[in-house]
Amino acid sequence: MKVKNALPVLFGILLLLIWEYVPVVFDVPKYLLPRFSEVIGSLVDNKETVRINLSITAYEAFIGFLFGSSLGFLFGVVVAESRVIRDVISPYLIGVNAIPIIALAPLIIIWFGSGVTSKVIMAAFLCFFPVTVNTIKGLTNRPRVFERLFMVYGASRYEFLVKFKIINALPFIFSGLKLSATYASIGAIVAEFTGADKGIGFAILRASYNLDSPRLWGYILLAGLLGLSFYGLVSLVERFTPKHFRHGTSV
Amino acid sequence: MSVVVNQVIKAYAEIDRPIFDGFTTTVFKGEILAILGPSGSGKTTLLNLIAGIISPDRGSISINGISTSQLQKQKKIAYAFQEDGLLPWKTAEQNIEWPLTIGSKTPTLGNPQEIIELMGLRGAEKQLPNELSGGMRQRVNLGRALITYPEVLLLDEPFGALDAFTRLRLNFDVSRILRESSLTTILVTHDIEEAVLLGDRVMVFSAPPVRITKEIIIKTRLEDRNQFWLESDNFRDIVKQLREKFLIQDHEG
Repeated sequence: MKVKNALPVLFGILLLLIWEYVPVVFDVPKYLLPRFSEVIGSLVDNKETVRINLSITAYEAFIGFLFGSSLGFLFGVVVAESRVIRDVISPYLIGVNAIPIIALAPLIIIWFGSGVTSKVIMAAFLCFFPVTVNTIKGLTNRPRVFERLFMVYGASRYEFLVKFKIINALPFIFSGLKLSATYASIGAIVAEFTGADKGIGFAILRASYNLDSPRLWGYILLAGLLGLSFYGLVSLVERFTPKHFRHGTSV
Repeated sequence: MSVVVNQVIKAYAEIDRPIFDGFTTTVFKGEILAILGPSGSGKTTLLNLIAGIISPDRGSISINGISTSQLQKQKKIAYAFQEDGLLPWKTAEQNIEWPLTIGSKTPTLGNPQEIIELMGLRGAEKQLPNELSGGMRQRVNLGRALITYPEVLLLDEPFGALDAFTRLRLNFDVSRILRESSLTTILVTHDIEEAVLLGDRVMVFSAPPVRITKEIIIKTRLEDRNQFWLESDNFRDIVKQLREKFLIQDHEG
């Protein structure tokens, strides 16, 4: 392993060691900060419940990510292709994006019930904007020369979009997807806070009511790992796209 | 094919004076017209009008009596820009043959291998643009313009971003290619020596609204314009005349 790659791993190990020994050295009560080994022990002891909660949230987040980012991409294309729509919609887009997700969650539960659908919608809502904004940025950010070039050869607008703009926007779109990947689990978990009987959000809430700190920390850790694995998944897909597609024509 | 620009008026909302106000000129079949002029004097606008990228507010542009839009569909107009506009995800060869895959659904003739040979790109055809030098990129840019066997070639400062040595070498290569073809060519450049080296006729534009302030026909045959001619009194005299015109124009503002 190269030194560059080994450093983050070593840093992680150091953090875990600090986490493990700070409560012991400073005699911190368990309900304030349990030891790392206690957190892991709590997860292992309840592994079946943990598995169910994790898989529910992962499913909601994944479906939400697929829906939200697909819609975000399509909407981004429509907005980028029409100056009128862009001018009319942009202020509202910023306004809607500024609504705190926690304020929206109860409304979505009222509309769609406390089942999986409302969680998927919340996850999709959070995934939608980063992809939309980055798609618009990617599609509108290009040197003028390409527009002239495509026009000279009589290319249609559709050809320019498919054979140039979208390919050129890929680095921006992937940036949006990576952001969305981390937001998807946040959306699902926040929705589970508001109304659910399963999932990581529900488990965090229950653990906090019971002052079960090791379990609470365990689920917080899992929530972070879930976001990280979605991010890794998108990065993996990006790695499989040919290297030269990842650059585009920077302006 | 001869290009006829007839009484063209073209204005932009953001500029108070029209760029062209009844501008008329003709570029004859097989002629290489070099256009010089200060920045913002409508040189690129003229090329964009001829290419059909923008339309005149009034007046007409025709090529052998045919409208530019019709020729555009037949890919008979080629355009090479200063920013080479190479697609970064395509190899040199794929960039060259790219015009054959775009636009009109009717198959367009074109032989990429012939162009690779002509432009001296053998050995570099599988390389991506970011692996090529500035000079090689411009060779691909020109090769792409020539692939459809165009009748009219528009060159908008294609060598503007190159170093002096690469630029001179490309000038000689382009001169050879144009000599061997019967292309009607319009070259826009800031470089007086380049205009004299490549042009059959050199035209100087004023600031907008555009007028032709000087026109010189270069009588030396293209095949005789070698490095020795660049040192000749004839070449220096033409360059001097054009430079003086530029300086006077600049002084008059």
